[in-house]
Amino acid sequence: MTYDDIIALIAKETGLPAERLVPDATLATLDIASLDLVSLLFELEDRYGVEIQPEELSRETTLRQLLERIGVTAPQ
Amino acid sequence: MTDRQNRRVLVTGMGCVSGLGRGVAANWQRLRDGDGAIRPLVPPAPSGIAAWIEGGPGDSARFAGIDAQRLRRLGRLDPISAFAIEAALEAVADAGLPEHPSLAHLTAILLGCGSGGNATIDAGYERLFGRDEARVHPQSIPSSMITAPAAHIAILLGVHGPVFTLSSACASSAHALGEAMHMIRSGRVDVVIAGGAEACLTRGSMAGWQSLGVLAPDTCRPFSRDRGGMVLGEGAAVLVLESERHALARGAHVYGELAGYGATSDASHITAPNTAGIAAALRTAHEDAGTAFDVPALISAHGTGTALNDVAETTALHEVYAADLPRHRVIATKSAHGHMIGATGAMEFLLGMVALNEGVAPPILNYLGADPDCELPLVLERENISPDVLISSSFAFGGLNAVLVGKRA
Repeated sequence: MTYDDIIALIAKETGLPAERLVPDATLATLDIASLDLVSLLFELEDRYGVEIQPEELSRETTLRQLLERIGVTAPQ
Repeated sequence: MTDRQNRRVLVTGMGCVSGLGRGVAANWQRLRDGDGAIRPLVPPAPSGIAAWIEGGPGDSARFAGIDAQRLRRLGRLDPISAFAIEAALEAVADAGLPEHPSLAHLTAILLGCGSGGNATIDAGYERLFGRDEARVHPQSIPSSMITAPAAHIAILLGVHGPVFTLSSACASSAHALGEAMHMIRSGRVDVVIAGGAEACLTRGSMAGWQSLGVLAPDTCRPFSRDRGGMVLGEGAAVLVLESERHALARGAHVYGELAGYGATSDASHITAPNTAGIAAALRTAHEDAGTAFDVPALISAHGTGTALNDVAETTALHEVYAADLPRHRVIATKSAHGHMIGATGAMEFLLGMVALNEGVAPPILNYLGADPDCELPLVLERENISPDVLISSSFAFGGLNAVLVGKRA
């Protein structure tokens, strides 16, 4: 599970181009709908065994925070 | 009658995807050439034969010209939605309607589907019962609901009018076209994006059909001796139907008219066909179109290739047309594109309209010889034809019958 793996997964589940998935973007600025978010969390658990509850995240959560929670480090 | 004439319903766009190929031109060429799509399935598909789509469901790369932000709102697409979207975008582009102001509020979408997202449902059951997982994908419901394909098309095209799916098994999309015709006749909308879709070549769905005992072991041989049953297909067919006033005002290309519709229910048996119900649907459609029984017609039969259906349909055609039957020509295109279930009525009407326009009747495939119980004026070799009228029949499980009358432009 690398940074690129996770970015590719987020891109697939949200339909967003990977170049928009910069570490400081928030779920709100990326306009990630709750349906896409629960699908992303489902795939993370399914593929990588990472369990995250939707309640742990907010609209203001950044991708950097999400990646840290998953256990991969975003480039500075 | 005056009202009806004022609101003639024209066909101004067509799109389809089936085992024969992607797009109307590719489908028609293989159909006309007698190049059928029925062949063995290959893994990971379940074992068996079917008219399956090479390359599988389309992805967003095939949805050319669609705004990426709209695509994001669709969620996960089951193959049934991908097929429906592919056919609908072709039809709407063919009609010259993309970005047309009428799409927003003067347009309806009415699709016929026999079932919903079988692949999505199979995948969920496989997790639950095959792998003893506790959860299924969060989008299992919105991806597999039977109305998802219609909703997906509405989101992509920005259609805010009436949008829904109707279901009547193997007649679903024939009923959809017929009811769409009435929506235009009644003045509710000017345009209907109408047709059907099905994606049923999954392990779960195939097992159900196999258990029912209606699938042929070899191929589909409509009205032939030694026919062994039906063969499943998959895909979608969508037409743009338009009021004459609206079509003429914008100078649309017109393929012809959807001139009549007869819908009846046998109310007799859940699977066995009923000659009286079939005959009643044929008569009702003729009456609705104002077309006499002796006007030479291209009859696109339901022609599934099952022992019972083909005999019941033959009997009904003799009852209805009697001495005039030899004036007509009978085709059965399921022998090429398989039984596309919810999509098949629209597919057959679409191909029949192309046949009228081209003046060519495509051959019934895989015919081994005459069955004395199925004596009809069958088209067994491709032939040039001159009828202006199409009779397209769908007789579904549940005894649900829909017959459409098309007229060449």
